[in-house]
Amino acid sequence: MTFLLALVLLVAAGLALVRTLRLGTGDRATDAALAWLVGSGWFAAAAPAVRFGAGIPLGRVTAAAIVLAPVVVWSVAWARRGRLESAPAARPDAAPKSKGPVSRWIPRPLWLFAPIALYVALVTVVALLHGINTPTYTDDGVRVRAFAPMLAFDDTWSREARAVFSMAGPLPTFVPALAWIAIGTLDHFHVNYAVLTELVALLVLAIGLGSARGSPERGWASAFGLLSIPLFVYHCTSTYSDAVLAMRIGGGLLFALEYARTRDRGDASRALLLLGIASLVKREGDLVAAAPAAVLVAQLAWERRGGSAFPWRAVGLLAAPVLLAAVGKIAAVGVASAFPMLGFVVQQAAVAARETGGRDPGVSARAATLFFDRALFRSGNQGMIYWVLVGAIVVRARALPRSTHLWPLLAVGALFTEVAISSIVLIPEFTLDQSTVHRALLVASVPAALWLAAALTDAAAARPAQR
Amino acid sequence: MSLRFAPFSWSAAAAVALAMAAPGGARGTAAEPAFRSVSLQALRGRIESPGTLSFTPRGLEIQVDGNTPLALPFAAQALEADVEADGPVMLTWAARVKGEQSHPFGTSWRHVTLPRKVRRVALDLRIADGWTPIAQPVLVLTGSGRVVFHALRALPVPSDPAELRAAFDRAMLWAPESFGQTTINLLNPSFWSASRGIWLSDVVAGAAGLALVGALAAMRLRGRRPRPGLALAAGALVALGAWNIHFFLVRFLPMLNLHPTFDAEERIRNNYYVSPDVGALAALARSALRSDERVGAIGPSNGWFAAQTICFNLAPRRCVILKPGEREHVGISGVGRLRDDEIDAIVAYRAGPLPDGFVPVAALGPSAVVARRR
Repeated sequence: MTFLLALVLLVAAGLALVRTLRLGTGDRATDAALAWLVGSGWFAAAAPAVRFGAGIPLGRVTAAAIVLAPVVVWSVAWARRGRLESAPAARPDAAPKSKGPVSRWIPRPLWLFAPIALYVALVTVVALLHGINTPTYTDDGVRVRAFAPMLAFDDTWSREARAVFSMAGPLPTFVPALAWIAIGTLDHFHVNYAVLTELVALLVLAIGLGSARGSPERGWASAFGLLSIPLFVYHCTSTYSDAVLAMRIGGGLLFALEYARTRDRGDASRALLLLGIASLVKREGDLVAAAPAAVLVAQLAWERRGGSAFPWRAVGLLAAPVLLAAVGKIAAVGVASAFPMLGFVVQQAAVAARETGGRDPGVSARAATLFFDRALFRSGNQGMIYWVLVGAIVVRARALPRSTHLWPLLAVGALFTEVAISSIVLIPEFTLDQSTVHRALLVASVPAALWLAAALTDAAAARPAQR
Repeated sequence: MSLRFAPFSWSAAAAVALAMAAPGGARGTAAEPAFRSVSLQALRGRIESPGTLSFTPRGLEIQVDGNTPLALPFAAQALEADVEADGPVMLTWAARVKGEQSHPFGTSWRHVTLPRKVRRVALDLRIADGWTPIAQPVLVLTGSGRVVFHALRALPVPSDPAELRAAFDRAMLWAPESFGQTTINLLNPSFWSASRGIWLSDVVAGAAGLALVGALAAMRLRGRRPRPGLALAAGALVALGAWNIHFFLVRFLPMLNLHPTFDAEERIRNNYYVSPDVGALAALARSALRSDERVGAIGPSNGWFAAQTICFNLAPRRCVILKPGEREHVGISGVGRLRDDEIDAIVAYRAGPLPDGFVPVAALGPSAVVARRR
């Protein structure tokens, strides 16, 4: 399976970046998952900058140079540091702040967590098998989502092809194409493998991080929560990018939750870097990722009141992939078309404002009903996530303002508000006609599931006096 | 969704009785209605269909090329068919009240790819579009090949309205998800009682609320200080656990393709679940055409799926979607252009006669053809 080549290359590039930037967590499984997320993000951001910005064709040599650049940089840095410090081996870049001794992979009580682990394993295997088995379903009269990587492989970028790239985003365009470029043959199923790798990486990240930080309950609860969203699981078996965007945002939120708990600046840096990379997915990636990133930056600014320095490095890690990809996108399609969703939102906002008096109020009312009644609570596309979320907020209402979960909840709220506004106010007709609200909600549901896992495991563990 | 049950029709019941000459075949417990064999010979001349039906010693045989609908002359809750097809053929099932239009390919599209060797296929009509107690089954055969129904059994509609309602609610609750073109946007809704419009999510949420209250009460009864966080976790577990058991074991597992298939060609050929003939044609074209041939794909004038899917699967060959009356054609999303005279081969799916100068080199059937320039 040639995709394994891409997997190994991108994980190697990611590990090198993680080490160079001192973002390692000290846990192998977590770092491996983080390496995929960062390494694939690096390739997705750099490839369009090189191809469109510098005008260098993306052949085997160019792709190898992009992927191996972080490895070379890290090797040089490691060799220098090794000479200076005589340090024989890499060490964790940030000591894990666990609560106690190294925790078990499967938490106790077993009667509770063994079935949860079994469920996670079963649904993951099922999603992998079905996802690998299922060819790409072309999805509407105009676009085929999995088509963009083929254009990257072909590397002859007509105006129409560049427009497809702009719609798909750099990550879904370039990552599945890496092995094709390296080997020179095209296997249609690499797009499926890339999406499924995202799923496995996020699950490993959630479970590994929880376990490494002394809370395996939180890790397994996170994986269980993620796999409790039926439409999300179904999307992971397709070649659409909605689940990919949701997972990338979810990866960022996992570290935002950790930062809220540990106050380790390294976690804030990891969160912002992953959110920056999330902006490379789909045309709306930049807008979606901006919401939780803004909340996290606001949190960092708020905490500066205590006298600590503002972590400019973390903000730089957020900006780096965004800017690098922006260079490529602007060179490819021009400034006006490089951020199509931003333009679309502005255009739709103008339409909504103009039609405030003229638009049939019934349309917005029906969209709101569809959103708040069907989509969130009843249709089952998001499972029971929103029922539990509302329950958790109500039951924990008094404790929340003082808890570490407040800022991450605000991030989830920001994502949710974005989806609500776009579904009800900006494009209610599309929401109603195509029922796209359900998959639009995935970017809020996945972080909501992760937030719930953290909030509920902490609430369950809290002694009465600590409430 | 709430289903309005039409009054039970004695004429429909009589039609069922007529069609079901029941030499054995009764199964099920005494409390449940049993499947009854339907005499295929008794259906001769009574099936509404534009297709050519042959009643042979093997059973009911139908040559399929494209869509062939069949409306059966009786009402039933469910069907079982011993059936085989010698080509890629999908069976869609729905129901309709006589004189009304059926919508078999709607959001609750129920379909199955027919087996190549005789196998029993179960068709629950209650979960399909348009079913009412007096509706007649509608079967639509889509694809290319010869289909043979060796035997047919029907589950009669119970006469007791309460029993009927319960059977309908059970069927809807335990129905597996069904893939369609719109599944990517939304899944089929889940009802605790579809006939009364009670959502499953409401019931599960109620149970989770009870678990939360019960956990708090249990803490108090044991003389401990209540821990709302722990009770909340218990409620959340009930909500997510119950929903997950329902969704993944009942709805998802039966419809997923879990057979490990290592060959990518086989996946393309066999795993286009809602269009097995399009997948088979794409796989055939991949094997029949060289990688340097420039291809034009033609689909039905009212559909986009087939031509796009064929072009997508033919990559990295240059491929465009042929539009009648145009001399220059574009590929997926407008990427890539070919003039008529630049096209080396054509893959045609239900698109009428081939353009002049092309001859078939491989075919699934008369209207699913791979052709090269003469």
